[in-house]
Amino acid sequence: MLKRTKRHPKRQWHLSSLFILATVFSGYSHADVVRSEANEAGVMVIRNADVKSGELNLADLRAIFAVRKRSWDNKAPIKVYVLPDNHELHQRFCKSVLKVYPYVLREQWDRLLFSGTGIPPITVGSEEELIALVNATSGAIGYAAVDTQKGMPSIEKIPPKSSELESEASTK
Amino acid sequence: MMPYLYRKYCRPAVVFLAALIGSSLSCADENTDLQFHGFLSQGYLLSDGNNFYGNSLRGSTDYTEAGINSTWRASPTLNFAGQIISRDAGNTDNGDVKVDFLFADIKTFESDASGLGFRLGRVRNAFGLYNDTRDVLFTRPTILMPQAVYFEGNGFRELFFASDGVQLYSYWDSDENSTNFSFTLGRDKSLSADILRNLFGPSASLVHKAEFKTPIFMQLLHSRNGGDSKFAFSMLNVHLDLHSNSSFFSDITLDASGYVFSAQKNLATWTFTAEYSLLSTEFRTSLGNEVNEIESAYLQAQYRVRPDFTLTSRYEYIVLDRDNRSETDGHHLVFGARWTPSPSWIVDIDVYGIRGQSGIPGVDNADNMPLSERTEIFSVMIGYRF
Repeated sequence: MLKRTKRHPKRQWHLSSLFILATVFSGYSHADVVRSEANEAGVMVIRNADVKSGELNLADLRAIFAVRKRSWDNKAPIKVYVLPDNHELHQRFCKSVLKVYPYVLREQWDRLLFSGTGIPPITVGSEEELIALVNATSGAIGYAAVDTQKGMPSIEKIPPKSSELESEASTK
Repeated sequence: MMPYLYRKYCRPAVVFLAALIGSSLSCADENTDLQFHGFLSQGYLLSDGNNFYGNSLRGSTDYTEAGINSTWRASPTLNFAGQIISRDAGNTDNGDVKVDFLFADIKTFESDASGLGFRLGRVRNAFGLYNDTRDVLFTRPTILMPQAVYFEGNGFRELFFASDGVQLYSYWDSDENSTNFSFTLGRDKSLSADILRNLFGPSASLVHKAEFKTPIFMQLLHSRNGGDSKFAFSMLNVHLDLHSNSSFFSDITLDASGYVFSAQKNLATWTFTAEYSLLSTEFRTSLGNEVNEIESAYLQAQYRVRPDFTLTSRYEYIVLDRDNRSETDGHHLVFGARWTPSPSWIVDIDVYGIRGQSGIPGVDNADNMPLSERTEIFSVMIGYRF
């Protein structure tokens, strides 16, 4: 699972602190989310705590969000949650984490959907709802803004963001 | 023929969808394993020169597409997918409800960076960048598909778009790139009188029976940097047996093999697409053979003025006989504007300027033949999806 060690020299350290539980969403009995360290654009990848796969690199995340990769390492199904295409956080996630244009991702999902060759991610209306669903759903993955999860432990490095958003992030 | 097809395919599909609806109602929670989606689009065409989809010389609304699909993830390695569509396009398509696709998708291998599986049933053929979703306004660049490469008006659509058979698919991911491969082997099928009329125009009446034999479709698609650049090579190989009902004409076989090279570059506000197709056909009769090569290509530029507003321009070049270029060439110029006020709605306005008869549906015109060498079309289409 772990790859590209050159890009992640702190991988061992990160691993040791993996799977720390969150308690923000006490409305759920098993409110457990594993979150990545936020990138400079303020976006982090979040996963349900029952996902036992290791660190996700750029290729993994692209394969998951493009719905090519359907199962976690333990064969459990991956369930992907996203925000609407025109949501500011979705656009930030596409550009800074996946490094794809949101419209290109939408084209890939529509092609899957209308040829039957894949099941696109579930689109939810708000970031709060997305986090709650990732909390409550086994095998779920999504993303969140760092503002929402302020003060929570950072445990996983996600790929560095694209240069075009550096200025945007630095002004925050 | 149609009642037979209806019984054979539509009823199981309705049952399949009803069963899925039933199962979804019985477990109405945040279940991601079962999804329903659909689309509906209505077009208006006003033309000069030739009719295109109905009596467009006077203004035609005879261009409607609707579909509903369902996907069900039975397990991480087993998916089911089905879609029924109704498409009305002038005299080329009559709005009958058809099974667009209906298959089981079995993923036999998946690792971090690759996967392999196969689909069994009626599958869409991956051919060029747009063929597998060509009936959905949201997934094609303009109201009318490019006539170059996709031959929307010539009747090839019915031969290209789906196969009953098995489709092998696989992919390999690396850090920045992804490569997809699909290979489809279809089983034999008889062609309906409607398809023959679209394909052969007035000559169709001479054909008593036509069989489409073991069609093969293949595509290799390389996507770089998350889809910023796409390169594809597609191939098809089909064989057609035509049995004549005239004692004067003997039976004819038609072998067709085609290739498409596709390239696309996606930038923040621009998308550039180019596709080139070469389709070789060989007619064999007792009187001899006739080989013909159809060559076509297009260049397309799309500019996103805003995320919800896109301008498109396209130039298409079609030669129906490479050995007789000057008399069989066609030139299409397309300008379009697309407004997507919400993710569910789309409004397209296109203008088409066409020189030559390639791509003009003969069956929409008198005597199954285009009337004029020159066609202008103004078209509006509104689409909804859920």
